[in-house]
Amino acid sequence: MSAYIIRRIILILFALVGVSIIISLLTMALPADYVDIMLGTEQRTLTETQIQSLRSLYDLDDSWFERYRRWIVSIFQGTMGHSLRTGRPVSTEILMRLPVSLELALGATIIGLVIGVLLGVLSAIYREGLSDFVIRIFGLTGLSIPPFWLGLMVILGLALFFNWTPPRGRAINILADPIGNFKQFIFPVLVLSVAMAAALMRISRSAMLEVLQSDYVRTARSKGLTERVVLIKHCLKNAFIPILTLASMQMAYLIGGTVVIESVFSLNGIGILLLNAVNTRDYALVQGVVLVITFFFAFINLITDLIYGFLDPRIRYE
Amino acid sequence: MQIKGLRIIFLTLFLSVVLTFAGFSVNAESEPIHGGTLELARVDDATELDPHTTTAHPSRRIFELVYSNLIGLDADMQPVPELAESWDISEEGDEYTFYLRDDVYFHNGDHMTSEDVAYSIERILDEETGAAARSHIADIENVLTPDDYTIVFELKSPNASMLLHLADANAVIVNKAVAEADSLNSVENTVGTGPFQLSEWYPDEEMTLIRHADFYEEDKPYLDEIRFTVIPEEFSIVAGLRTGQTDFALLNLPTAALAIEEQTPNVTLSSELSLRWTPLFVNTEREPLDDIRVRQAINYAINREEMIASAMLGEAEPIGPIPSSLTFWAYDVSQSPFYQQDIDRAEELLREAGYEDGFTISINFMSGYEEVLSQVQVLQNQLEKVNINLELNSLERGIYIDRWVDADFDLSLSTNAGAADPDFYLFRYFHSEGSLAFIHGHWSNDRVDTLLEEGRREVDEELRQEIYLEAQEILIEEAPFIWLNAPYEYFAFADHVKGFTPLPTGGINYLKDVWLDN
Amino acid sequence: MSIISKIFSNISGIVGVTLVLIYIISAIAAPLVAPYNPYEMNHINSLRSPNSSNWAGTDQFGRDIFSRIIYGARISLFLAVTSMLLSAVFGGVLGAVLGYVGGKADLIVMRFVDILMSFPSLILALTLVAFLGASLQNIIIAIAIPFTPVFVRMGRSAAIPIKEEEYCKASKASGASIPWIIYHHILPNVFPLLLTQTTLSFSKAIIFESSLSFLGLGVQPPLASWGQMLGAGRQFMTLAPWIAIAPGLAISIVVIGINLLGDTMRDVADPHLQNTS
Repeated sequence: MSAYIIRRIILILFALVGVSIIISLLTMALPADYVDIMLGTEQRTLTETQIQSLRSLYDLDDSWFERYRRWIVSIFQGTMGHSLRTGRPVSTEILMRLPVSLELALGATIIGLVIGVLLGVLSAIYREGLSDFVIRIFGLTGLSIPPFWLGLMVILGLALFFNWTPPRGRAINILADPIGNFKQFIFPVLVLSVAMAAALMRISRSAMLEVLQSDYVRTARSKGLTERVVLIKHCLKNAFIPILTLASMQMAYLIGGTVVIESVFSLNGIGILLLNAVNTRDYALVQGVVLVITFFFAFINLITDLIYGFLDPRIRYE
Repeated sequence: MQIKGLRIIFLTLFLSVVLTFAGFSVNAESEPIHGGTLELARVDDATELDPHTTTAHPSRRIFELVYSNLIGLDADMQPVPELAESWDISEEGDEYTFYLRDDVYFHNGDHMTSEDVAYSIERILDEETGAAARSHIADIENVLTPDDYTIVFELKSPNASMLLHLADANAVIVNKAVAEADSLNSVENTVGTGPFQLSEWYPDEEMTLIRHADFYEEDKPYLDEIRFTVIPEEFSIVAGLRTGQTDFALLNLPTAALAIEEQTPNVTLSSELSLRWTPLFVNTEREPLDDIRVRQAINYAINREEMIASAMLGEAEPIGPIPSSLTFWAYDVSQSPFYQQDIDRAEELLREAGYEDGFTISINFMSGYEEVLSQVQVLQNQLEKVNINLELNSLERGIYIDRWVDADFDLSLSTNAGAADPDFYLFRYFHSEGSLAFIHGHWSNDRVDTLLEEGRREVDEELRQEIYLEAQEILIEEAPFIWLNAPYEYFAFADHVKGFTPLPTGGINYLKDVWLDN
Repeated sequence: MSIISKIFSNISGIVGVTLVLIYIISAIAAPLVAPYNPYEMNHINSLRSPNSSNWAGTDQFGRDIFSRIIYGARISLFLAVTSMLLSAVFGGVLGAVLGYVGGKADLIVMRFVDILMSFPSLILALTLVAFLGASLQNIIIAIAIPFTPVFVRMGRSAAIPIKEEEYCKASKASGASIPWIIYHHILPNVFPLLLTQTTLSFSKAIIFESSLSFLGLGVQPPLASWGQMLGAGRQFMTLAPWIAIAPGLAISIVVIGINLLGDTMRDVADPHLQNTS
């Protein structure tokens, strides 16, 4: 088992290196560099000397290899390079925004899981009944409302009917001011959890149905165990695998993928950070954020697979 | 007798007391109150902090508050004293002498002298700095400091724009000692002489400016603090204004402005016709745009009023080469035949040029800007009527810039920054030696060259005006660009925010006069 | 099954089929169904709220929104279906193969899939479209790529348990080739889950496309995709909410229909469910 873990970790490291090289080359390949974007179309009102001088200031006249090498070194120094815009270490920029994204992702996943699985299981048990139909319609609606639109409607509604807007500006620290943090995050988290709950509901229903009909369960039923025991012990455990897979994938996706919600609710997360970094060609920042997102992704996958293996002995030796 | 006298005295006393109190209460209403925090919301955050190299608008808004210039601009874009109490310009127009205030202190307590001014100007002129304003004040040949509070600029040749360019947010005066020691791109090194001091910055979240206690203007600023909050969604900003969470907002979109005007009673919308301008950049090197008749045909095919009404919801004005906000310099385009939509004339010109079957050209524009996308769609629709098929190229910012700088486009549309001086809109594009004349390549006009050169030197305002009016008329006819419109600058603020003067530059310099009535 | 449950299950199917048919017919017969030319600008008529001549109102250029919704059906349908099919087929088969075969191939390929999956999909798609240009083909590719890993994982996680089933091992022992086993044993079991996932992803694809358009790099005007209409309607939320509500409703209705249909099809196709009582 520990050999498996170590192997996975080594593979994760390879993945991280691979990702960083790919993303580094990709951003380099994009037309226009940081100085181009900074100067905009007025560029040609500056002399060659001026532009050159600015490029040197931002270390843009080094070769790709040199920049990449320096960046790798900076990872071990803990800075992961520096943002061309603020001059601060990339790690600082990321750490300032990571809590926001983590809170959004975790919050939405937990709420989505609870509501989604509950509704999905109910829907599967009462299959074909009225409640099944209702739950499925709810699930479908949740899936089809674009989150940013829902977010905008929520803000509008709050302002119009309750004369209230969520606190803006600095992300409020959950430890320092849990109530303020709640006010800031509850609505974006709820909006994100709608889609999550809907997706999880559907997969829970589908997986539960699969399992409810399988030979395995029928055998267990025929042994005379009570319905409840049958359900909980056997069905959920097996049904949980695809549910867990989806939930973890969704959450990992959320860590880097909440750009639009962050924009609508003016939350400063790493989604917006990455988008701005790509738009301004802030190379080290792009590389750093992608690396962090990839790391979280791989990490969540590893944990999922371990839990997977724990739940289903058949998979343990893969 | 005595009693009557007493009554008169008493009445007089009573009346004077009443009148004095009445006077007090009248004063009390218009008497600025010190203190308070102004919650300001805007869509974009400052990018960087070096005031000489950073031209992004959100950064300039900060420089306008934290730093000062030699001279400022009032609401009519006329020069007013700032760090310089007064100035002399030599008769030939090639020597400027500024007499500086002796009571100016930087945020770190340093006393400002002509050394700081000299250093700042030289820093801008130094190519190593990469300063944006360099090309505008490049005529300055020598900087002399006869004493601590006098500074002299000797110009290579007279330049009528010099004063206005010195008032630009990228030509501010920095602290020599601080700038010599280290980069200015940090909060600690942002040390200016402006009414507010940069105290904290959480990029993409919040920026806090606090009152500069030793600001040279007596009593001002009234506010203790201004808190800039970045809210990427304009709609959200409007919601914040409505609930009172935000006191003051900088907005870009006409829809946000209209939402405030129509749906938010406790908020004032102040709109100023901007100095910014939206043209169609035309690459006159490319067929068929090299033919003046084709360009004029496009002009005739366009209905600017219609475009403004639908694409901009009416929130813009048609302009010529110089935006109408510069009322003194701008050519009145309602007088120009080229600005009246005339489909017949357009078709006639295209026939003459041999394009009666129409043709296809493409237009580049930056993605993510709703107003631009709207205008481009209307343009496409209007050009269809004369058989011109317009292909829309929505480009990511970097790619758009890249192509523009290489003149790799047929047409290009974007809204561009302006300035208070007419020369800014013309020389660099339309003089054959202009830094941005590469856009045309082969187009040039000797008369325009001469006029623009004269316009630069001419110190007499009336004569200068004539020069520029003539130049604009030629440019409209030759259509090396096709000018569309100028938008508005929007400032929205709650009713308790008093004393603000909006500027066509979009600047919030006059937040120094603002006080909160609550 | 009681009569009532039968009716309900049939209703899902019926409703689903009806909605999908309406969608497909509007898409195909758009010129016949749409009351106005969706591209025609009529500035006097701008920003009209829904009324008897413009059922969904007009936008800022006076274009009839209902007509644009009908024409938009074509684009959205085309984009979502094509990208999801591409994703599902390629990803699902790849995943099933990897799940069954296992070993080194599985290990290495899954790492690449992980890498792909961990790229924030919107940013990846934006960069792709920005780089390659916003043509319909490129948008399809840009949408399909981020969704493929999900199908790979799904296919793989469905294939792994099957591998250990008795009938599967029996086939292998009796000499069946790997492709045969995959085709006859693995895929049929993967198919229902894939179907559910596809219908799930389909709606996400529509929303993904709308996010791309929201950020300006999706379908270009004058072509109207529902996502693009949503993006354009964003700034009109308070002034003319129908501009965004109409495409939002359209997306919802179509997605509900497709999913109902998908569910019914799955219920029918799944052999295990035939014998429920």
